[in-house]
Order: sequence, then C-alpha cells, then structure tokens
Amino acid sequence: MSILGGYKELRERLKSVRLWSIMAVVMGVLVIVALWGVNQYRGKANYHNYLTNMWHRAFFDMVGYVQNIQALLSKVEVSSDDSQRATLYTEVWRNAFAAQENLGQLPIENNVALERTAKYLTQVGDLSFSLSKQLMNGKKETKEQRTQLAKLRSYADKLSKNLNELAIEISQGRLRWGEVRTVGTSRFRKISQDVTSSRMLAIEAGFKDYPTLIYDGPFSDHIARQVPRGLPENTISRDEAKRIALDFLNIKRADMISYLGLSGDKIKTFNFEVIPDRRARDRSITIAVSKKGGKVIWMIDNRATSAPKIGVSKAKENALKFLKSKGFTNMVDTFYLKQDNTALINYIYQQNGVKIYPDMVKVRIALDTGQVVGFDATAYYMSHTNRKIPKPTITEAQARKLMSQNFDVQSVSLSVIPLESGREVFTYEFMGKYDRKYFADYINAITGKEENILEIIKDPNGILSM
Amino acid sequence: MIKLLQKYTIFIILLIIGFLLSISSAKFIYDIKRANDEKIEKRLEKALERSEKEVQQDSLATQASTNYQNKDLYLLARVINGEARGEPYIGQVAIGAVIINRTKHPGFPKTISGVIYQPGAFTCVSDGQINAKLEPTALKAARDALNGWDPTNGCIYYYNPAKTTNKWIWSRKVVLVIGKHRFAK
Repeated sequence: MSILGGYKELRERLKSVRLWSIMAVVMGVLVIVALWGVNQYRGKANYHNYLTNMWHRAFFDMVGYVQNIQALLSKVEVSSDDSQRATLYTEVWRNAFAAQENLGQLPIENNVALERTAKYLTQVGDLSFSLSKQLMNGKKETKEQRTQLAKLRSYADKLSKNLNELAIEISQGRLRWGEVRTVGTSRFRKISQDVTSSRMLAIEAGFKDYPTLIYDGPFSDHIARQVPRGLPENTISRDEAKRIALDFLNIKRADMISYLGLSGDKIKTFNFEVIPDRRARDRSITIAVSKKGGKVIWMIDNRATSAPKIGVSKAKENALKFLKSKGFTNMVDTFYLKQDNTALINYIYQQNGVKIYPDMVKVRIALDTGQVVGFDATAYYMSHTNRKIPKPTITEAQARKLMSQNFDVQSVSLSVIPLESGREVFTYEFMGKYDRKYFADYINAITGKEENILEIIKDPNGILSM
Repeated sequence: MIKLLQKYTIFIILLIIGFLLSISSAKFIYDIKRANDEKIEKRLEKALERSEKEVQQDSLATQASTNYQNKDLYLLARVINGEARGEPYIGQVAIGAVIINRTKHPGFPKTISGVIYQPGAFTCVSDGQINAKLEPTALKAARDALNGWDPTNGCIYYYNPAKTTNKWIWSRKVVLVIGKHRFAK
C-alpha cells in the first residue's frame, strides 16, 4: 500500500514538474517574443523620429526661405541703389532655389502635384538672377519687369502667410507630417494624411491663375513656346512620312513597320518602329518624321554593336558623307564621345566660316560596321534659319585683350552661341589652355562682353564640354 | 487525465517547435535576400569602378568631371530598369528623357537625383524596384537619354493606365503611348 502510495505520489509530483517546466518554457518563449517585439518597435520608432525630424527641418527651412523671399522682394521695391538691388536679387535667387529644394522633399503622397508652387519658386529665383545680371551690365529694370516683380511679390505674400499658418499648427502639435506614415491602416491614417497633403494642395491651388512669365532666363515660359525655325512650310501625310522614313534608312523593304502615332509639341512628328529583319526581332529602329516639312527629326537604332573595327576619324568621314547625302551642307564636327562601341559625333552648321552652335546635329556611328545607328537634328530644325551675321565691331586683338592674360590661346574663330535663355549671341571663340586644362572663352564680337566659358575635356573616349 | 495532459504536452511542444522553426526560416529567407542584394551591389560597384578606372587611366589630364556623369548615368539606368524592364527599348529611353525633361522644367527639382528621389514621383523608388538587377539595355537607354534623345518630345509625366491609382495624373494631356506607358505633359 505504502509502496503503491509512494509510486502514485511520485507520479503526481512528476506530472506537476513536467507541467511547471512546460509552463516555464512557454513563459520563456513569450518573454523572448515580447523583448523582440519591443526591440522592433523601438527600431521603428527611431526611424520614424528620424524621418519626422528630416521632414520638419525641410518644411521649416522652406517656410523661412519663402519669408526671406517676400521680405527681399519688398526691399527691392523700396531700394533705389542699383548695386544694392543687384545684391538683393542674388539673395532672392539663393533663397528661392533653397526653398524649392526643400519643397521637393516634403512627404506629400504625390509631391509632383505641387508643380505650380515649385514653378513659382523657380521662376522667382530665375527672374531675380537675370535681373541681377542685367543690373551688373548697367541696365536698369524696365517698367514691365517692375510690374512682373510686384506681381511675384504678391504671390510671395500669400504663400508666406499660408505656410506660416501651417507651420504654427505643426509646431503646436495639431498637425504632424509624421502621422502620414505611422498609424498603420486604421481610419485615423487616412484622415491625417488628407489633412497635411490637402493643406499643401490648397496652397498650391493659390497659383491657379499664375501669370506667364517671359524674361531672359533658362526657366522662362518662352522656352516651352519656341517654334521650329528650320522646317519647310508644307505639311505631309502619314504615308508620305512612311516613305520618307524608309528612304532615310535606305532600306527597300522592312519586315515590319509599325506606326506609333503622331506626337510632339514644338515639332509634331509621325513615329514609326521599323524591324528590318524578322529573325532578329530585338533590333528595332525608331524614327520620327516631322509633319511640317517632312524631315527626319531623330532616329535610334538599338542594334547591339560588337567590338570596334574602325577608328573615330573613319567614323567622322562616314558621318559627314551621311549628312551630305541627307542634305546637310557646311557641317563641321565639334565634340565626340565613344561609348558602347559607338561614336557619338556633334556637327554644327557653318555660315561663311562662322560656327553656328545652335544648329547642331548629332550622329552616332557604330564602330564595327561604320553604319549610322543614331541621328538627332531636333536642335538644328528648331533654330536653323538664314542668319544675318553682322561684321564684328571689335577686332580680334581687342577681344584678346579683354581676356585673362594667363589664358594661352591656341585658336580663334567667329561663332554664334546660344545662351541658357535661348538667346543667340555673336562671339569670338578662343580655344586655349590654362593650367593644363582646356577652355573655350566666348567674347561678344559687338560689345566685348564675355558671354560664356566652357571647360573642354579631352580624353581618349572623346572631347566634351562642361 | 494523465493521457489528456500528455496529449496536451505534445501539442504545446509542437507549437513551440513550429514557432521557432518559422522564426528561423524567416530569418533564413531574410539573410538570403540580403546576401543577394549585397551581391548585386558589389557587382554594380565593380562595374562602376571599372568604367571609372578606364576613363582615369587613359585620360590625358585626370578629370574629376568625367566621373560626375557616370554617377548620374547609373542612377538614371536604375530607375529606367526599375520602371520599364521588359518595355520596348524606345520606351526605356523615353523614361530617361522624362527625368531629364523634368530637370529642365521650372516645376521640378533641378538635378537628376532630386527628380528621382522626389517623394511619390517614381513607384520603383518607393517600392525598392530601383535596386533590381540592372539590365544592360537600361544602361544603354540611359546613355541615349543623357545624350539628348527624347522620344517623348518634352513630356514630363508618364503612367501605366493599368496600374496607376492616382486620379490626378489622368487630367494631364497624353502626348504619346509607348508599350504600356502613356506619356503626358
């Protein structure tokens, strides 16, 4: 009995030991999981704080820059001193670009939708910069430019006021950028997300009837409204375009030609995809023929090129022959670049020995077969016209004196170059060396002003300008 | 009673084993993925180094500026790769051209990296597709775009009508369609 009782007791105890040990293991696992979870949560919270801080910094910086713009623009209106205004304009330019940079980092679900605000900031900066340059050249602002500025300042007032309200709400904790991404998938998230984003979008809507701005700068609205000057007046049909494309590619018959559609803004083009050989389907040629004038605007052949067999000089020979056969006369090569077993060569038009840089055609030659695998004459057709080139009013020797004396000039020629704003200027082009680096210095042949300096990079892979 | 407990014990032990197994397998999968990413990263770095070296070795005077374009080139190629793998070649050039057109447009950031990393601008950047294995055609397309070829004629938007959830984008004027993408102003 006692033996049996002892046995039973032992079993009872064993049972409870097993039970306890199981419970201990389960508890242990739970504790580990809990620790792991806490750790994960902390990590996430760290990241979240970090991001929120970055967003806040970007936002508050932006508000500050916009306030500066507003203050600087009103000072400009008050100031009567030219050099003071020139300084103020460069300050506006600096603040506007910094503001735009920060705007582009805000965690709005679709930041791209703030396009108009960004455009305003870019143009305020760009216009100010061009006015500052104008003042440095001794020309005062015109009445028109004054009214443009006044209009832009009124937008700065509004923008600054709205952003300030938002900034106060955010700094009081009523609104948070961070909430956009933290609160999981609950209904809460949607609400907070909508609040911050829609507040920014409401500010964006204030730019709805923002005026068109035309001035002497790269982001002026006239850049998007340029019309091609080098295309003949007649218009062609789709079938004619197809024939022109095949003529251009010099193929009698292609296995497949598909029409990609009529597209384009400044130059409307019929686009075709040509597959010359059905057996090699990954090789396709895309070609665009302008509706106005029926000219081939660009062409890309994506044939994979094999190891080079010809050099750049032979490639240039081929390219020039090709250009002649397509009706481009008086072209000279300037820069070139070797890549992917091809040579990309830039050609420019020459009128009575004057280099016309805006009239540029790019030709890409495959270095294995010497064929043309790429062609782009967009710049040429946009700008090419019969220009009236004046006689230079200052002589070469006079122009040379206007440059730095350390500059070792190696060649001089006359050229027409495009400025960033699209305006063309007639210049002396001085190519030369300074401190073992190559430069091209452009001195206006009428006024003697230095219009541009390019650094020329020469290496075995090509000659480029920066 | 004992039998019941025994059954219970086995159940608990199985549960724990299952739990531990699932954790370890998840970690295992994560490790493989990370190793893979690192491998791609290394290969890309090597390729970058090689091309930079080639330029540096041969150049007459060492130019830091030649490297500058290289960096933009790979970033651009990665976005093209992430956004338009499997699209026709011309469609890939077009994506690159849209990015470059944005840098010249007043309404967008002024640098290629600024445009690419603008929040919500490109899905491949937010979902990590930008790190996918780089195809050589994407690199070639990026070069063409950087050299100025623009099949879109100045477009600054594009979208895939089957995938986009963004209503706002539909209001833009579509200029052309290449493959699955619509390009708009």
